[in-house]
Amino acid sequence: MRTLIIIPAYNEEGSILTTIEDIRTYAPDVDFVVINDCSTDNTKEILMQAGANVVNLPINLGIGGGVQTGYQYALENGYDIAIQFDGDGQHMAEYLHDLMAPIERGEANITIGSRFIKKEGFQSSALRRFGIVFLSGLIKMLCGVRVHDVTSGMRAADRKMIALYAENYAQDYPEPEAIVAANLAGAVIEEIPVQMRERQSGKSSIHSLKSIYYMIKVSIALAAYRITHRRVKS
Amino acid sequence: MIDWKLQVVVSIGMLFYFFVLIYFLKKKQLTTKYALLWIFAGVVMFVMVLFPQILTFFAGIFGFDVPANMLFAVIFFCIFVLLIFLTSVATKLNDRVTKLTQSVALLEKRVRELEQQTASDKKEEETV
Repeated sequence: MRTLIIIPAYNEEGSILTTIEDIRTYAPDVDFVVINDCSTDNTKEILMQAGANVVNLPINLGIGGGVQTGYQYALENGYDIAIQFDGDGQHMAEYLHDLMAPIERGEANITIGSRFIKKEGFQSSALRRFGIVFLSGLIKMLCGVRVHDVTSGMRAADRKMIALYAENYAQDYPEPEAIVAANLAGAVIEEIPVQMRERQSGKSSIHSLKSIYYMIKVSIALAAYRITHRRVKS
Repeated sequence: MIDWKLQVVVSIGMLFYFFVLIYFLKKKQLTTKYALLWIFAGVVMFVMVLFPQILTFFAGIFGFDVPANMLFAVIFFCIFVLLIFLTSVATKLNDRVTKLTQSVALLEKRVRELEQQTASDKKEEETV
């Protein structure tokens, strides 16, 4: 099975090379593509110099648009599995194969790397954790699937989901909404226990001050999505 | 103070408003970002319809002769703010389209020159 790692990157000059090194160490057999979301720092130059596989977006699209570009790339190049992996160094490449395994075995369509199953490694702030628990409950209520780490950007998708996401991917709050979208499309979602690191450099695109505002907006967006989309009968 | 028949008519109007909103959301002609705005506006209006005392109360405080005047004033104000916001969205979109166009044009040049280069390389190979 051909696998592609999608690395969305916006202003990650401090961590993008170490991220690629991490991947080359634990998954040297897997292809990757960095989606440079019109970074304003030296991310592009650093990547060009390293000769990495890069797609440079001409304008900034945000995490949703960036990751979706990766899915389109995966679709166009016929990959069987696509993995989302952050370019800021928070994700750990040693779990990549764990993430791929259930899909390779045909047990799941989507796998999500979850920090909260074994509760090891960086657990994020208390406020964030509360928000994640809330969203997890909301998603359970809206479409019946229980996912513990709803905002985890470390996830893998099979061919069917690659095609789905390439066509439609939430632009504003992709991680939780993508779970609902997948579930409504009939996907089997499995969570894999992983550890993550704390952000080493650069700035998160979700500031802690805006967390509550984010939470309200996401909740309404998820509800709106559920109301306006039908569940596909398999 | 407010005729119950009017409340019923406006309530039906509000339901229609929400249906239109959901229709546009379904057809993906409204991003959730802007939909939130309209949902919020709809909720506020619905509350006003169900509890017109709120309007009368605030109209009295601010010195409006008739509650309806305050309603219109508020609505007009909101529309102006919304229009300013929309023009800013249009500006941002315009900027992005400009950048995209420039990017495409420069790419076209590179591709064209690459094609010419490959074509002339091939010609050289054939003549050798």
